[in-house]
Amino acid sequence: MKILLVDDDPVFQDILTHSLRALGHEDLTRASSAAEALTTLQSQTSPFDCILLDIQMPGMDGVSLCHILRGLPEYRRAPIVMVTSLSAKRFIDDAFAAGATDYVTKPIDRLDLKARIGMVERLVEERLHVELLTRQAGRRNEAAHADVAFESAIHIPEFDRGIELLALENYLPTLGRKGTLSMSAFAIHVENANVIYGKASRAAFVDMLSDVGLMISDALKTDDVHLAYAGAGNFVGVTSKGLSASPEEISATIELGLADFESFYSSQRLPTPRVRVGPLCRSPMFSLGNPTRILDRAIQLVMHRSGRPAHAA
Amino acid sequence: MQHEISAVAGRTSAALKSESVPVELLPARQRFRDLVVERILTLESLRIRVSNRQEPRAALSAIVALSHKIAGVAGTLGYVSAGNLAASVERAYRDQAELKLPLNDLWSLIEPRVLALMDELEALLDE
Repeated sequence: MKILLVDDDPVFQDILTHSLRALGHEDLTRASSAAEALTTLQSQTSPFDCILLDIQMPGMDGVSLCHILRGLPEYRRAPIVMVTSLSAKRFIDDAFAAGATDYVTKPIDRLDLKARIGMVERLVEERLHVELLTRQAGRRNEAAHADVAFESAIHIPEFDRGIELLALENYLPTLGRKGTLSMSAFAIHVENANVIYGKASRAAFVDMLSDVGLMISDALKTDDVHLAYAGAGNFVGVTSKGLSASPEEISATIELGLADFESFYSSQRLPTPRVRVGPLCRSPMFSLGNPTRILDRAIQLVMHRSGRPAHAA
Repeated sequence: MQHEISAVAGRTSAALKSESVPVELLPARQRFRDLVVERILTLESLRIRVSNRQEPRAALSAIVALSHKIAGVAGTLGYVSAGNLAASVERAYRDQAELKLPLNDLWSLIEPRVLALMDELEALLDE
């Protein structure tokens, strides 16, 4: 795995370099600032598989660099792990909103680093597999989604406000126990997603999800939320401040926006997506389980309202 | 205050200063040790600048930035006390800066922590 380390502290760079080598990673490149990292990217013949970023650096900080990287086609989906001493919620929020995949706090723990890098390796392998399919089929859009299962928490193109489900799942434990307790989750279910999945090509199904994602982003534009697509026609969101409108009002706003696409869907012989927004749910006060269970709970609640059994997220 | 800072560090300077680290981190630990003198001198010159009110806000920010760096690595390299003291400098600054405390009050809270950190770093040189 080809890894770029960006940190202005040479001692921390040494720690990361030697720790990663001990885990079997030898293809490491170091940069001591955001500017040096950007120059390094331009000089590469093949892109890095993964980037580890410090946040607090002189000049451009790591969050701004992460945002820039996400705008580059070759790094739109590459794992970006923030490695930082900053543990306040606002830094964590900013990092995930800028597109970070994960967030590790210094001082780093050997076992924790091993687990996080293992997760990154699995992501990289999965993406290489998709790229291989794309090359073999020759048609980028169809091939990229050729093996998309209905339940898959796929990446949705043009859903700029959304982050990957994996990043959202990493976000919640990063907040710590107290931070997680202050969060609420909600789900938005596309009620006829399975019908559209059955009738449409995989690319058209993904396009439909992009349309819904766009309308969700628009309906929640004044809300401070992190959103992701969880598969099976379910979008999930988390917020620490609640939502500015009721679930019914948000559903109506999203469907009003989707009504503009009605003639397009009709021309494709597809139904227009119908959405239902679920209620906010909180983490149980005395639960010791995985904080990401709140996402499953939000999906169960919206499916219950829709009168259908929940798919696993 | 000294008592509180010792509690933050979890031990006194005279106590055991370092813990064992994985063998692959020994080069990083050596690099940290090589930088200790430079960092003590930098902290001291910045401390004097704040005390003498020579661009004190900028000097204080530089102290916090350097403490941030030390806090991020010292624990991993077995220097837990130095890491905790550096983190306490950074935490005190961030907590109090949000309350917009006057510089004098802020500095009176932070300076003892900076001095304790410098003492702890100096003690590492005796290892």
